[in-house]
Amino acid sequence: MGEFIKKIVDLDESAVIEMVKNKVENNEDPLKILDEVKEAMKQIGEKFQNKEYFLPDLILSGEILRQILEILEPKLKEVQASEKKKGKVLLGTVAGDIHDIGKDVVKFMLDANGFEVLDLGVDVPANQFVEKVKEFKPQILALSGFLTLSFDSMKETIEKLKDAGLRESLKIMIGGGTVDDSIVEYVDADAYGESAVDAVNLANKWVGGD
Amino acid sequence: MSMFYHTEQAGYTKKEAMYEPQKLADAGLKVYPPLNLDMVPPLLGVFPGAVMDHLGSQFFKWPGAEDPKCKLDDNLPFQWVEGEYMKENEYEEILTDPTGFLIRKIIPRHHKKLNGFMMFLGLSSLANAYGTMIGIPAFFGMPSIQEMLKSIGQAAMKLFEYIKASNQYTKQMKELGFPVHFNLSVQAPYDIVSESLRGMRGTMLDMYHHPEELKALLKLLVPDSLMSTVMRAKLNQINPENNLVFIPLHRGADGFMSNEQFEEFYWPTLTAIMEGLIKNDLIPCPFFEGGYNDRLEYLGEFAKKYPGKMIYWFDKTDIFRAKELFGDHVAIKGNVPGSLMATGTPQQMEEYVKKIIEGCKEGGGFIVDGGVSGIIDEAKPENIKAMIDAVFKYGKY
Repeated sequence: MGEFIKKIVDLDESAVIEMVKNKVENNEDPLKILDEVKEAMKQIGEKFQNKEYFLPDLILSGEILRQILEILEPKLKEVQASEKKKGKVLLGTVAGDIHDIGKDVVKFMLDANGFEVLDLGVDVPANQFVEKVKEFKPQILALSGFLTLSFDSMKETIEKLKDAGLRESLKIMIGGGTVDDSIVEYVDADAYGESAVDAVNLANKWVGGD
Repeated sequence: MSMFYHTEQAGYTKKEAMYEPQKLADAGLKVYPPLNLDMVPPLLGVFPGAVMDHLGSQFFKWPGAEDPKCKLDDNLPFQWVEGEYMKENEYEEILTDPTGFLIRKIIPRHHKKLNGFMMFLGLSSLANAYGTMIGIPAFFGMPSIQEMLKSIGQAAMKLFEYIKASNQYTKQMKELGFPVHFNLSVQAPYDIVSESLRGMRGTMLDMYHHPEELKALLKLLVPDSLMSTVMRAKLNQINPENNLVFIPLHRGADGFMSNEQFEEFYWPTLTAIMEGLIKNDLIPCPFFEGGYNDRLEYLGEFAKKYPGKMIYWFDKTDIFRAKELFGDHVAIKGNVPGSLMATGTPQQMEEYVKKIIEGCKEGGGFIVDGGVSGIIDEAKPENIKAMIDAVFKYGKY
């Protein structure tokens, strides 16, 4: 593993920022830098799965990534246009629920792992999910809900997708503090994730990739 | 414990529950006695909307809010608005002058109609008798502060209405033979910082960027957290025999931090408070929301230090393992899933309750309750009946 990747995986914030600045000064290819960052994020995800890292480490890695992207920003627009994404994920917290922290971590992890994510925000009505599925054409729908009222909102959202003939075209994951296997069955989703890393693993499994 | 279950069953909207304390109380008195629970939920799980309107509270959104930014549909529950109310570069200020910082900066950020507190006297003026002689009337005499005091007065009236209804409910339940679960609550200092000051993301980053300042802030919160709870217990005239202290725990669960971070930042100040409560003859009832499977060793060690003095309430933790490790030292409560209450069948509920009773009954000290804040808002009444029936069927031994 290269030194740069190792420093990111070790969450050595000051070393990483120093290295990125040097790379930019030396005119290194920003695509290559981002590839290494993605590899580092993948390894961070593995550490999370192995319970070496926890949510604060993911948040810190997000903060490091934010600073890296800030430094790369001048070169970033070209980079983003030419970057090939693994797949598309439509994401949102369901109607009635305004919690967003977990959803935001999922968004960041999916994005960092090569997915194109459209985040509809919080308290998203079922109809809006349906419209955006038609427009954005994601392979994956990710529904977030923290409160127990989200069970019925998730169920209603998925029923409306069925009515619109869109259910078969999608894989649906759900997540949130009170969600479990029985809720997956209740709402007719495909799976649930306990963490943002689970979301990445599910997305990779469903869309190919790793 | 519950929030809106009784008002849902009584046919009230969540807005009515939050704005009409009498309906909140009446619903509880109608719904809970027939269930024959050993402890009934207090009303304190539902917050008074009118108080928050008069203060211009910004840290919640709720049904019926006057401020359009805070308003939710009539049938939605109140929800926290996460934010970094305290900024990363304000640690020095809060550690140097904690109460002054909280009064002049945090209160106005939490409640926009209390902006006037930004002008409250500073440390040196408060320490100076001449300073207060001039400064106190000067501050309170300002027209804008007089207006602010009117808002506070209106909030107080609404608060007293809510407390009166809650006290009346507690008294009536007591007369019917049903003790209310708790009157007192306190929070872990880490949760106060994470929820009300720095936000979840901010506090997590602070563990890396400002560990010593964060720990200093957490320690600062311990003495008053303890003493204010002890004082409230002493002032309780309605049911002074109820010495349970509810401690909802949010941000130290599995996944939210490593064990090392738990040991360094979350656990010491929480246990300091719990020790103090025990020494003052109060019963800590920490509600370990989420899972604490990675933390059982810490919980067990503390339970063994104070056998018979606490109730540990569990949600997603392996309750059988908890019972095995420290069930001899602490009462165990839980952990019927919210998902089962809302989407399961009475048969599934009976099977679940039978399973947890059989696994946890050895030696006594087991309390059956929901793992997600007790009885959830969306619980089907037939499932709650099945839960209670199962306790009577399998819980006698």
